[in-house]
Amino acid sequence: MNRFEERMLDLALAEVLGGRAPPDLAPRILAASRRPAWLRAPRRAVALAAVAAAAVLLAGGAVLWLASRPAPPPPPVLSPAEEARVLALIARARTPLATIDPSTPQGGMAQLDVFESTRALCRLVAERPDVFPFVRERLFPIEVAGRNRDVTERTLEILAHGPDPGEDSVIATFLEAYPETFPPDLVLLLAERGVASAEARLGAPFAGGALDPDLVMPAVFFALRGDRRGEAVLREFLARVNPRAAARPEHLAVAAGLYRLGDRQAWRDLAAVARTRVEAGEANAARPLVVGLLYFQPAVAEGRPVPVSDLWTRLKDLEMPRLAELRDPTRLRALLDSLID
Amino acid sequence: MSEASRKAEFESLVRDHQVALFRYLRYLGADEGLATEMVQETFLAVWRKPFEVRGPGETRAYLRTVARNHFLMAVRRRRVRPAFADLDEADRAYRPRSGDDAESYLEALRVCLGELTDRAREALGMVYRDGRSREEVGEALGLAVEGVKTLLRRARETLRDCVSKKVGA
Repeated sequence: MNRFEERMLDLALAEVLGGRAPPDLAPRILAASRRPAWLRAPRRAVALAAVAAAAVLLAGGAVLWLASRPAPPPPPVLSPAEEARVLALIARARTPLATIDPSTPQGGMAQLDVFESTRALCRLVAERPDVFPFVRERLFPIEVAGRNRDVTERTLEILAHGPDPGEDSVIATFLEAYPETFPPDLVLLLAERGVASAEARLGAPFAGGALDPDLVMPAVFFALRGDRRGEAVLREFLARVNPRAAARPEHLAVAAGLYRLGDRQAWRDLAAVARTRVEAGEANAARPLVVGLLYFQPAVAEGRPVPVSDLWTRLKDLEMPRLAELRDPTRLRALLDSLID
Repeated sequence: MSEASRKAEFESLVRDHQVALFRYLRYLGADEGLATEMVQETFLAVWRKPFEVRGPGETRAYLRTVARNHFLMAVRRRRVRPAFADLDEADRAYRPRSGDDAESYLEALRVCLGELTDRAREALGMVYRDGRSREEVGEALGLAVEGVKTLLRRARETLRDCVSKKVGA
């Protein structure tokens, strides 16, 4: 029996013995023939048409929604003179500081130019808050969030370290608008000066209580203000310093903070950590710590307060001058011994 | 031809051939749902594009061709699995065995079933009427599974020979 015979016999037996006779399709076919052509389309085509119709309805709905949405607030209206002034300030503030060598007279002038233009911009924003959205639109997408973010950061830093305390409120305006773009040491400096928004910014990560290196500065700040949580975080952090792990500047910040709280032993412990690394032939890894210890050693020895916010800035800028001296292991060990004893 | 007479002719065409087309499509491999759909599509195609009705044999052949083409489209577009790889060969094998409309084949089968032994007819009934497995049939008849297979195979061969003689295939 071939496969055609097999198939025919199977179907015939199912019909004769199983009672599976073909259905009477005549009413259905005749009814379908009387319907309009578009209704007679196969189910697949009907489904496609339904999907297309739904897509059209959806697109129409989206258009209506967009059209009926409340319009965004209009941008600030500046007079042509004001706009020209702001644009000029922005253009000057965009001078790429990163390529300027501050040691040359030209570099120094350019840096001063950026500093002055940013200062003028900040003052303008403070005087005319309605100008701020305009400045934000034109300046910050490029200078703060973009590739030249460090330019603005450094400029604001210079401004924050300037002699005029009145600048703080100006910087605070930027801080409130762009809290995530501010470097932590700048935030700390503003907090030390009593800028409420900076203090709130510091308190936010500290509230979590995790031992994240980014919490060191906030912890120091709060510890120095008598906050026991801050001191606990510092001690916990110092207890976890592994003599064999890479020394980090935040270790120094912890030690400096604890020293100011009257804990000289913390300072010595940290110096011992640095000496362990140097004796293991890993002076380079311990270098930030060693340089920081040496730099602050006179203040610590005399019991003078060490500005916490200065730790970051000065470690970054001032670690190099004594580097040659520190390359001599014998002299380095002697220096560290003097710190420990 | 008036619209009324065209409708009457179409209605007659549907009533005369819809069952045969359904069986033919099932033979090609369509399940009941697809066969129903394909039969309707075949007649609607004929309704949209009428053909010259000649003798009954030619009409059946034409309708089968239209139905086979619709089934082929379903095979290609919906990945339906046909019963045979070569549908043209299947079509050529269908006509002589089915007696062209399968009615004579079915009539012959009913007669031939009476020529089987009671045991063989009972076994076929359990499989095709009750949907029982070979193991279940073996239990009911006191046979091993292999014995059931042999019984069914012989019964089917008997039916095939008997039906072939009666329909002249």
